[in-house]
Formats: sequence, C-alpha cells, structure tokens
Amino acid sequence: MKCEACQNRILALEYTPEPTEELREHLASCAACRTAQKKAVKLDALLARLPVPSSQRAKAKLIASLNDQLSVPSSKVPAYRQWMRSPLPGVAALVVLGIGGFFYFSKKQPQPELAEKPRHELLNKELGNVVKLARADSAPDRLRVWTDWATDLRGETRDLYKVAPAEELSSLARMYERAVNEGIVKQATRLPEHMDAEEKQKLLQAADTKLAEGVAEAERLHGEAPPQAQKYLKQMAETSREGRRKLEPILKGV
Amino acid sequence: MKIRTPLFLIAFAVISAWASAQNASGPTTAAEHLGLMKSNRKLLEELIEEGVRLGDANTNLERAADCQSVANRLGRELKRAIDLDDADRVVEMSDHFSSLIQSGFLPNLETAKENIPVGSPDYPRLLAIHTTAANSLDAVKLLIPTEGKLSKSLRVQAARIKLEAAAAAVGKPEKE
Repeated sequence: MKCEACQNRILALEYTPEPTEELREHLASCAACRTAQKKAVKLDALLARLPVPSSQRAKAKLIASLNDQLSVPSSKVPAYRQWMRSPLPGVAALVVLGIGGFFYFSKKQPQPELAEKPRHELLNKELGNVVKLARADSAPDRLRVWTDWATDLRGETRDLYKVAPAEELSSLARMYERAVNEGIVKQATRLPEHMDAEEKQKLLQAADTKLAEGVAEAERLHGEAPPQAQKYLKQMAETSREGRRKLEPILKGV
Repeated sequence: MKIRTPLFLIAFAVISAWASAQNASGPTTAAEHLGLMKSNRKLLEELIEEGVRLGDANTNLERAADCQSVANRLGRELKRAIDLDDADRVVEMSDHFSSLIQSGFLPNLETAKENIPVGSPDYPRLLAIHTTAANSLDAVKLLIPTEGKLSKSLRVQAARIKLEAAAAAVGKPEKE
C-alpha cells in the first residue's frame, strides 16, 4: 500500500485509534504514516471536546456571538470602505479595464493589421490596364483599354483639381496627353481594314464620345478651378479636342 | 445610484464603439487622395510609358519582356517599402507584382514557349527572358523579411506566400 492511500484511509476511519488489519501492516513498517495516524487521533480528541449547543436557541446564540466577533459595526466603517461595498467600484473597474484594454491592444498589436491604409485607386486601375494591354493582341482591344485609361486620368483630375498643386496637375495633363495620342489615336489608326465596319464604327464612336466628354468636363471645371489648375484643365480640354480631330477622318473612312 | 450603473455601462459602450471606429479605414479624404497621388506620381508616369510600349509590342515574347520591365519597377517600389517598414505598401506592391506576373507575364511566356521551338532564332531570347524573370522573382521573394517588425504582420506573410506562388508558377527554364 502506498503512503498516500494509507493516510487517506486513516482520515476516513470512524475511529482513528483502531486502524484496520491492512492499515496496521503498512503502519508497522512506515514511520511517516504512523505519525499521520497519531495526528488524526489527536484531531479526533480535540473535536470531541468542542462545546455542542444544547438547544436550537443556544445554537442561534452561538452563531450570533461568532458573527459579532467577525463583523465591525457599520457606524465605524470608514467612508471609503462603505463606497467600496457599493457596485460603483465594479463599474469603474470595468470602464478602466475596457478603455485600458483597448489602448493596450491597439498599441501592442502591429498597427497595420488593424488599420489598412487606403490604396490609390488610379494606381490599381493603371496596373489593371497594364495587365489588360499585356493580354490584348489586337488594336481594337488596345483601343478599348486606352479609352478607359484616359477616362481614369480624367477622373483623377476631376477629384483633385481643387486641391492639387501645379506639379500633380501638370503630371496628370501630360499623362492624359500620352494616353490620348499614344494610346487612343495610335490604336485607332491601327484598326484592321478588314474589321467589321459596324464594330469599328462603334469602337471609334465610343472613344470619340469619351473625348467629347473630356472637352466638356475640362471646360466646365476650368470655370470653377483655382488659378494653378486652370492652365492644365485648358491643356486637357485641348488634348481631347485634338484627339477628336484626329479620330474624325478615321471615323469618316469607315 | 440605480440609474448611475446603466449610465456608466452605456458610456462605456459608446466610448468603446467610438474607439473601435477610429481604426476602420473609411473613404479617402481629398488630402489623403492628394497624398496618394504625390507618392505614386512617378510610378504612374512610368506605367504610362510601359503601357505605350506594351501597345506597340507585336509578339508574346515582347509583351512578356515589357511585363518583366514593369515587374522590375514594382520590385524597386517593394524594396523601398521594405526599407521604410511600410507593411501596407509592401502588401500593395506584392499584390500588384504577383498579379502582373500571373495575369500578364505568365500567359505571354506560355504562349511564346508554345510558338518558339528550341533552336529557333527567338529561342535564346525566350530563354533569357524566362531566366531573368525567374531570378528576379527569387530576388523579390527574398526581399520580404522573415525577421523583424514586418515579418510579424500576417498580411506581409500572406504577401510573401503570393510571391512564392508566382515564382513557382513561372518556374525555371528547362535546360535544352
């Protein structure tokens, strides 16, 4: 028998001075368990000496006297301890933990995981257009891509013309010019002769419509633009107008 | 006293909701938009040039080479973002890089491989473009750190996996 089992059985005995045969065998050879048994016997004797209330009334009196010894009269409790007994500290702790927890986690965790910076929509679109051009193996497909690209640049100008400094607006105007001349017009001149006339007309007309919108929009924005933006809006209107002039003979030839 | 407790709880809930809302990425303001335009201006201008070149490219091989050139430019942007510990930019550039490789470069390379047989005049160029792309992808992949602040970002780790997938898709050129 192991010592732990032996000592557990001793505690479970009805009468600790008289262990069972099995326990006696172990106790004969184990000093530690003999000591444990002696302690158990002593504890039993002490428990037997405890006063037992003679009646229910005496029992209630004993409990009341024990409670009096344990508690402090409320009139003597300091104000801060009275406050501590109210639900307020719990609520206050909850608020502090909540706010503290928020700041702790927002500072400790890598910031980018929590707040992703917004991406530049124009960059997304331009890279999308690059991929489309990489997949486009015909002038019609490329013309479609360049028409979209020029329109995207126009949209960016519309969003920024009131706040952007000259450097950015100049860049947008240059890019727009490249997209119209090196993109739309160049691909329009490369449209295959054998291409379905109706489809060709539709394609060219779509590009021309976008350029016409470009003229109208740049002229409209020019009227309400800050001085640093006016020059570039005028330039973009002229680019659109020139693009239309170059498309006109191609459209007529269809 | 009875009304104070719910008031405290409501105030707590409001403060928590407000604090959480501070992290949500909302719509771009004009100032943020201008900041993006300023930081991307040079890249956008270069992309227009690359686009014009792509529009002039007549073969899959030329288009693959042009895509490679754009990818190199994005690789430089990625390197800069890593140097600045800018996790958002690292993820953004990795996304663009892998998308360009998978959707632009790879289809052209595959078609070029089908059309250019071993021993043909264009074959050495095909091999060179494939080798350059494979090497460049290996280099870009290794740019993403495995230690330090950036490596702890889950999104950066995902970006690295994307680049590894792109590199695996391109593979190494087969030896003759």
